[in-house]
Amino acid sequence: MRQDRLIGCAAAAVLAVLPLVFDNPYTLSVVILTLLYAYLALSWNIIGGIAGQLSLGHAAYFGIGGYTSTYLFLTYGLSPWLGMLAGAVLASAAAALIGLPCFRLRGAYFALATLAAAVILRVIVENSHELLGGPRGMEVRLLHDAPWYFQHTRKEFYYAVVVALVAVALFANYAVLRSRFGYYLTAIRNDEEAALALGVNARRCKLQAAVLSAALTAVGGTFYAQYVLFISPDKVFGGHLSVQIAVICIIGGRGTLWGPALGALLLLPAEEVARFVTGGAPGAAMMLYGLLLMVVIRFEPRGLIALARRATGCRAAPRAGVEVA
Amino acid sequence: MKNQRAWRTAITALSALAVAGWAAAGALAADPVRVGYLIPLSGTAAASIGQEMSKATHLAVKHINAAGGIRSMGGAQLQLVEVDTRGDPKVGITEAERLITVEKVPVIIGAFQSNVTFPATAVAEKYQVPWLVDLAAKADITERGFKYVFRPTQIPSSGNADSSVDFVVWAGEKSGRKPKTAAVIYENTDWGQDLAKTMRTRFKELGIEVVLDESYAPNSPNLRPLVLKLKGAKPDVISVTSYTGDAIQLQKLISQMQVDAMAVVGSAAGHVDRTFVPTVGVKGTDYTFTTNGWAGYESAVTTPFAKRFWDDYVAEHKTEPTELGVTAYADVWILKDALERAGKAEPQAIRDALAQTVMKGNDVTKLLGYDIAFDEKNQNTLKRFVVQQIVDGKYYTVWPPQLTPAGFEMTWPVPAWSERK
Amino acid sequence: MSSTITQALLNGIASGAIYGLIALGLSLQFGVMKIINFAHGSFLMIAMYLALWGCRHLGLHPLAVIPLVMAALYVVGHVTQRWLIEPIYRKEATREPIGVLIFTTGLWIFLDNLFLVLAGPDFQSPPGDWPNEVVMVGDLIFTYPQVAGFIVASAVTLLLVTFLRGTRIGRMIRATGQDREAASVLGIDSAAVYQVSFALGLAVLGVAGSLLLTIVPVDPFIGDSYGIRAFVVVVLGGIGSVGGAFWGGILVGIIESMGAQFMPVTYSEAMIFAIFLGVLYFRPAGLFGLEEA
Repeated sequence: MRQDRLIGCAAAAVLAVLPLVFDNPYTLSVVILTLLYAYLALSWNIIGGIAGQLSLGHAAYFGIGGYTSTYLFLTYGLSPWLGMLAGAVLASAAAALIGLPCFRLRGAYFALATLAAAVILRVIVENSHELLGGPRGMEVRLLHDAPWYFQHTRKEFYYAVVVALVAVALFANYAVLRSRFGYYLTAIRNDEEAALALGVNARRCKLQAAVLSAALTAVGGTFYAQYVLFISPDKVFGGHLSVQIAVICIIGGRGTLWGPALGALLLLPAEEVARFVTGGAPGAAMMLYGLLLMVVIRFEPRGLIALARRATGCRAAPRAGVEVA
Repeated sequence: MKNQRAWRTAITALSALAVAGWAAAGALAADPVRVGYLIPLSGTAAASIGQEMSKATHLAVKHINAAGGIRSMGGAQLQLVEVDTRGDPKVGITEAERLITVEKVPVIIGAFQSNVTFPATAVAEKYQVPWLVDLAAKADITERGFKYVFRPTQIPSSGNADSSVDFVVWAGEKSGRKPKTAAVIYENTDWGQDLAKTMRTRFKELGIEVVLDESYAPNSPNLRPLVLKLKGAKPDVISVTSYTGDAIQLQKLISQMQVDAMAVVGSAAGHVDRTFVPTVGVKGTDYTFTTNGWAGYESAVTTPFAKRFWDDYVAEHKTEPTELGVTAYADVWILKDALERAGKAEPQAIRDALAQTVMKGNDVTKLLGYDIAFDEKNQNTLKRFVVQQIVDGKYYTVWPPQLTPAGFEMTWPVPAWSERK
Repeated sequence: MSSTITQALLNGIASGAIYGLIALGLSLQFGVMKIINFAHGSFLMIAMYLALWGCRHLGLHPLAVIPLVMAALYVVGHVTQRWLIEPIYRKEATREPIGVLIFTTGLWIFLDNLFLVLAGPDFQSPPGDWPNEVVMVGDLIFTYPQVAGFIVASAVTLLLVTFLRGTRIGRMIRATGQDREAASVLGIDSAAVYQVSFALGLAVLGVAGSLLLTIVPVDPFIGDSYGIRAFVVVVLGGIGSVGGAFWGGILVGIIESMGAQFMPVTYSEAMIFAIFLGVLYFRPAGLFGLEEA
C-alpha cells in the first residue's frame, strides 16, 4: 500500500508538470486521449477486472453519458456538468437493468450478453431520428470559453478535467481493492461457488460493482462529447469501443490498481508511434498495433503490470487482484 | 508482389521528388508549401474511395510541381502531408491539430467523410487555418458561419437528391410515361438521411406517392429481405442511396430477383464507383441510372489539361478516375490558384485569397463541369449533378439533355429483366 | 401464404444455412474450448479471398474451389491453434481464457489490415455469370448460389454431425466440449482434441466463405458484419451442439428475412440480438441444444 502511494505521488507530480513540458497542443491532445482511455479502462476494471465479469458492452454506458448530457444541454440548456451526473445516474440504471438478467451467466456467455445489450441500444439510438438525431448524431453547440458549460478553447482545461477524472477513478479502484467489498469481488472472481458458500451475496456485489463501473464510464462519455463536440451512435455506442476499453485494461493488467492506466499509456501512444514508424502507409500502422496486442499477451497473459513486476524484480505483497492464476 | 511494386514505386517517387526538390531548391531556393491532407485510407469501407482520391491528389501535386510550383512564391513546390483518418472523428481532430501545430501546414484539404470533416474543420477554424472541403456533403459544414472552411467542389446532399428528382420528372414528361409511385432506399447515415428527406418532400410535392421508404445499416451482411420488400411494393421509380458495397449488393439482388420498375436511380457514390460495373456485371447494371457529380469523359476531357490528368492517372493506376479522383485533382488546382494570389504560405493570406476565388471557363472548371465561386458561407453553389444511364458497362449522360453524347438515346422505361437477353 | 411470404421464408432458410455454417465453425471452437475468438470474421474474410483467388487465377468454378479453400483453412487453423493459441490457452487453462480473447482481437486487427495491404480496399467478386443465374418455380425466384449454398451447407452439417457421433475422435471432441475435466480423467488428450476441433472449425468456415463469395462481394472488412453474428447463432443453437448451430443459423435467417417484411429493416439486427438475450436468459442451453447439452 505504501508503494501505491509512492507511485501515486510520482504520477501526480509527472501529470502536474506535463503540460509545461508538452506545450504543443497536438502532444497535449494525445495525452488527453490517453488519459481518457486510462480513465475508461480504470472504470471497466471495477467490474471487468476486480470482479472478473468480462463486460464487452461498456460502450453502452459511454454512449448514455455522452448522449444524456448533450441532449439535456441542447434541449434545456442544462450545463453538461449537471448533465454528466444525470448521465451517470441513467447509466447506473442501465447497468442494473442489463446486469440483473445477465449476472446469471458466466464467463463468455456474460461477455456476449453485454455485447448484445450494447448492440440493441445502438440500434435504438440509430433509429430515434427526432429525439437523438439518429445516425446523424448530435453536435454540442459551440460556446468557446465557457467553463461552466464544460467547454473551453484551451486544451489545458480538458487536460485538468481528465486528470481529475483519472484521479477519481484511481481512488475508486484503490478504495474498492482495499475494502471488504473488494475482497468479496475478488472472491467471486476466483470462485463464485466458494464465495457463495462463504455467505457472500454474489449477485448484489456484482450489481454494485457494475453500477459503479457504469456510472464512471458514463462520465467519460460526457467528457468525450464535450471534447470532440460531436457524437454519433456508431462512434460512442460502437462495439469497437467496448472491445478497446476491455483490451486496454487487460493488456495493462486487470484487477490491479495501476494496470489499466499502464495499458492506456502503452497502447494509445503506440497507435501514434506506429503511424509515424510506418510512414502512414494505409493499414500498416494498425497491423503493428494488432501485432503488439498479440505479442504482449503471448508473453504475459496477466498483462504489463506483471511484466513490470518481473522486470523490476519487485515481488509486491500479494494483493487482491494479481495473484489469481 | 503487389507490395514490392508499391515499394519500388514509392522509392522511385521519393528519389524523383528528392531530385526535383534538390534541383528546385538549388535553382530557386523557395521554401515548399506544406499542404495537410486528411483522408480515409484504411479501417473503413470508405478506404477504397479515400485511396482513389489520394492517388489523384498526389498526381495533382506532381503536375503542379513539375510545371514550376507556385510562381508567385518563387516556384515553391507543394509538399503533401497526408494522414489516414481511418474514418474516425477522434483521429480527425487530433491529426488536424497535429498538422496545424506540429507540421505547421498553412492549409488543409479533406476529409471525404462528413462525420470526420465536421468536427475536424472546427479545429481548423479555431486555429484560423483554411480548410478545403473535398466531397463531404453534410450541409452543416458550411452552415456554422465559419470563416476558414471552404467547400468548392461539393454542395449539400439535398442538391444531389434534387437533381435525381428533377431528372425523374423530366424523363417522365419527355417519354410520356410518368411515374406515379416511388421507393426511396437509403443507408441509415447522415448522408443517406439527408438525401431521403429531400426526396420524400419533393416526391410528395409532385404528387408521386412514396410506396416504400426504407433505410438499412451500412455494410449490411444481407440486403435480400429489403429487396424482396421492394419487389412487393411495385414502385415505378426506385431511388437508391448507397456506398459501394451496399450498392453492389442491392443492384445484384435487383437484377437477380427481377425487380422491375421504370427506372432505378442511384445517388452517385457507390453507383459511380469504378468497381460497381465490374463487380455487379455488365448485364446486372444495364439501363441503371445514377446521378453523378462529374459528367464523364466525353463532356469533360476536352482540354490538354484534362487529357494529361486522365492519361497519367490511367497510366499510373490502370483504372479510370471517377468523380472522386477528378474532384480530388481539381481541389489541389483550386488551392494552387489561391496560393498564386496569396503570394505567401500563410494561413490568413491563403484564406483571404481563397475567399476571392472566381474560376470561370478555365481548364479546371472545364474538367469539373461547373464554375467556382464562393457565397457568403464559403460554399460554392455552382456545382451540379448530372444523371447518367449505364449501358453496356459505360456511363452516358442523359440529363441535362444538352450534355447527352450525340447518337445516344436514353431508355425509359427500362425493359423488364425477363425480356433482356 | 402469399408468394412474397413464401419467398421470404425460403430466402431466410437459404441465407440461414450459410449463417449456420459460419457458426458451425465457431461452435467447434467456442463450444469445445469456451474461447471467444474475435478473429473468426477475419478467417471468413481470408476464406473468401482464397476462393476468389482460386476462381480468378486457377480458373475454377466457384463451387470447385471449395475443397481447396477447405484444405487451406484447415492448415491455417492447425497452425493458429498449435503455435499461437495453444501456448496462451495452456497458461491460463484453469481460468476463463481472457488471453485468447485479447490475442484474437490483435489477430483480427492484424489480419484485416494485412489484407487491406495485400488485396487493396476494393470490393471484389468472382468472374463469370454463374452466381447470377436463377431458377424459377412459379412466382418464386432463387439464384444458383442460394440453392447450392443450402445444399452444400446442409450436406456439410450432416457430414460433421455424423463424424462427431460416429468416429472416435468425434466422440472425444464432444466429450471434451461437455466436460473438460471428466474427459481428461477418461484419458482424453485435450490439447490434441482442441487442435483437431479448431482446425476442423476453420475448414468448415472455408466452405462457408466460398459459398458466401458467390452471394456478396469481399473486402478486407467483410468479417466485421458476420463475426459477431456467428456468436449469436452458436448460443441460439446451443453451445456444444453442432446440429444446433445449424438450426440457430436457419432461425436467424428466417427472423431477418421475415421480420423485414413486417417492420423497418434497420430493426432486424436489434431483434436478432433481443431474441438472443431472451434465449440466454430463459434457456442458456440454447433452443436446439437439449439432446446434447
